[in-house]
Amino acid sequence: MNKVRYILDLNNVLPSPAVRGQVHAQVAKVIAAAEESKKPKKAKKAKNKKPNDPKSKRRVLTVIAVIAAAAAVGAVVFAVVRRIRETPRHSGDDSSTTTSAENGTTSATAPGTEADPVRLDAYPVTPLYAGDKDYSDLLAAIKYTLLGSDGIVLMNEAGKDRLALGYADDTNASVSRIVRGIYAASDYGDCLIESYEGLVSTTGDRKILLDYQKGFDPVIVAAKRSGTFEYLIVVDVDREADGNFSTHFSSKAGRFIDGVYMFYPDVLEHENAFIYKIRFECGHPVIYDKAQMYLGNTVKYKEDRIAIRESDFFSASENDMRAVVNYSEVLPQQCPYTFALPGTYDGLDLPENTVDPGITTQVSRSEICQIINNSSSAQWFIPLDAYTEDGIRYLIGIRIDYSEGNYWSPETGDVVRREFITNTGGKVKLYYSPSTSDRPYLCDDFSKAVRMIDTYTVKDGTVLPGKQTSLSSTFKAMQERIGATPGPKYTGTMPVFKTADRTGLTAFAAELLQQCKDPGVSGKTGLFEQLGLTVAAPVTTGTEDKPLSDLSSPDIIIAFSGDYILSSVEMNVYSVTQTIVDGDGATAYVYGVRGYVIRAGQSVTEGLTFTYDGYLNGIYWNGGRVRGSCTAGDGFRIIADSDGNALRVIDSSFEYAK
Amino acid sequence: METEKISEYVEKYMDDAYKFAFIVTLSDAGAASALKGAVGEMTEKELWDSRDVRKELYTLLYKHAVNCGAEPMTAAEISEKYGRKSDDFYSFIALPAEERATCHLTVYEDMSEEDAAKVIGK
Repeated sequence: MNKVRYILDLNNVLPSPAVRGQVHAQVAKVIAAAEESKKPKKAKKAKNKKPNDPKSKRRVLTVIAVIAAAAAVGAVVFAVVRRIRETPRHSGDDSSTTTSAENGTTSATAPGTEADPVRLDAYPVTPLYAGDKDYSDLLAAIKYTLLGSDGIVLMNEAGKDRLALGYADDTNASVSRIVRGIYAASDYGDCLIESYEGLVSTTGDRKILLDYQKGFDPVIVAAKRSGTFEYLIVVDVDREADGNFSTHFSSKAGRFIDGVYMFYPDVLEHENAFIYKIRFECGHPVIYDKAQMYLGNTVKYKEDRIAIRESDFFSASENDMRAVVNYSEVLPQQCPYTFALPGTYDGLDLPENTVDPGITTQVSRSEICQIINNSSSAQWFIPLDAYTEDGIRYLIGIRIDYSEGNYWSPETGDVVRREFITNTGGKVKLYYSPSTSDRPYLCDDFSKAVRMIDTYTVKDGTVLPGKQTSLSSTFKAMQERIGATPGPKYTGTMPVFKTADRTGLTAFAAELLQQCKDPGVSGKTGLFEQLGLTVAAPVTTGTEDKPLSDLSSPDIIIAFSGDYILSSVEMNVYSVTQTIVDGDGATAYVYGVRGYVIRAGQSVTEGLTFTYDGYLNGIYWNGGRVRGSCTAGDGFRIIADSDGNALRVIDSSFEYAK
Repeated sequence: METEKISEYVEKYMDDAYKFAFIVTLSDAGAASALKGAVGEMTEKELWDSRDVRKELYTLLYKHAVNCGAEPMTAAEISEKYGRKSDDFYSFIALPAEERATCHLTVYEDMSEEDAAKVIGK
């Protein structure tokens, strides 16, 4: 062969995730077919293999880098799809297992071939769990937006147009919801919107926008609930005018009949899909995360539905997703923000020990945020009840002012606690145990701690200025006035007035509970703000995270990385001392809090470990109570810089010896 | 061979195999089709236990690539996606498939020209 020197760069010529899925599907299918036939073939050893002769190696092509066209990978995917659809089946393919480029499947009898254009034994696909939720907004958000791993929200042209219209007309609830979803999906509320234009060189999940731009629609084929989250398996389809629809991998995946996507049975078995982690907040679906998954052998048919093993909803990446609900991962800026309250009015006459009164009243994020914004010091608002009388909606709840210790801290076992100080100085404790529930709990001393109840009025969706403050006992009277009798009747659903015959923890009616994200970094405009939903940043201790140079007390600055051990904590009524040692046992930090005496070199009593995430973290213990007399584990937090170096250790609300 | 082991092999060779198939077919669809076909046949014939898996795979890749029937992308399309316009580039993609395959194999797979020729059946 003649020597040829050409310029070509194949670095970007790579199989897309879709192709990878198809190839693995091919393997799985062949193996499954072999097993099913129960005729295992004897391994054939390849013959006539000659080792490479290095002496005869001769490079005849010089590869010189060529900058690949932007959006190569994304374009590759689309090109594959396009080619798969457009390319006529090759008649000369003599391999029974050779994949047809036309139908994208691996069987000669695969659905969608020209010889068998319509299979009537298609199965209607219904989400395994859908409830009565309206997923249209979710699907719109999936279709138009995407949160990149770098925190940039991507939006395709259609989505951008819709967003623009939404800003022009704030009654466009759909766009608003999408944007809220974008916001909620971001880690810190510090996300930016960018059109995929200009980002064409990016790869990975952004390709989905390109695909959707070409007409694909997301279809939920299965779903599962886990705690307050739902995990949805979504397959992208492209429906033609004749009712046939295709997927990325199958040119004829099924038919759209009477509003139902009827997939050919074996199509889904070889599909790649995306699994979305979502949660409904105020009835709005919010996307928290997504991951790609290969349905492969996970899809099983059961009667007229597909079934997917529960474990397949939670792949490795899914477990990562679920880590969000693990207390050690809960960030300080996350907080309960929106509540679905149990129905405590309408003159219900509930039997004793009613757990679920059957109705709920929702208090929206917007309402709560308005209350917070209208206050100079409010940090949170925990609604307790909401009802409408004479056209006026009343929100009753506890206003939480800035308070120390406002982060999750260990309590006992894996129960963590968050403590608030109310507007009257009382402490409110919120508990959460990821092992038993995704829902937070209020302690039964809640009503004791809360002495004042605020009542806000809402008209046309806007919280009116001013409020009525009343004693908590008045709230009971109000409850009675509107038809509900507080007290034991609502054990299990009314944490404020629960009786003490339970273990001390009572679940919120937190069906729609969400974790609110930090509304944004100061100086930056977050989506939350753009939506007019700006709330006070949840300052958690009154001590702001400052650059290293700005710290006023350099003597308490420590710089370290990795896990350290809080080796000793000694507390009594008058002093608290924390000693942190590094992995070699050397004292890294000794800190006396609140002006008390520093006592170094305390003996080790329990191992308390803390980690940080580059921002800040509370401490959590791994050994239970320290010295049995104080709950030290909830005591301080770490502020770290973006490199993970701890800048400061701050005490907060130690609960002193009792 | 266990499924997991096969999957490992598939992943190991997939990227370069795809490039090779692309060079032969000049088509993303063709590359995908050839890759799936070759991997399927490798699995069906239990060739993952072969002494020279790579060679077996590339032989099948070539077979499926030249038979896949996928329409090659135009020079302009390929150029737009993967390369700058240049005479050399156009010359390369204008070569017959077997010559492109040989070039690719000799470069990317570090095969001798003779072995590369054998792989593609020449």
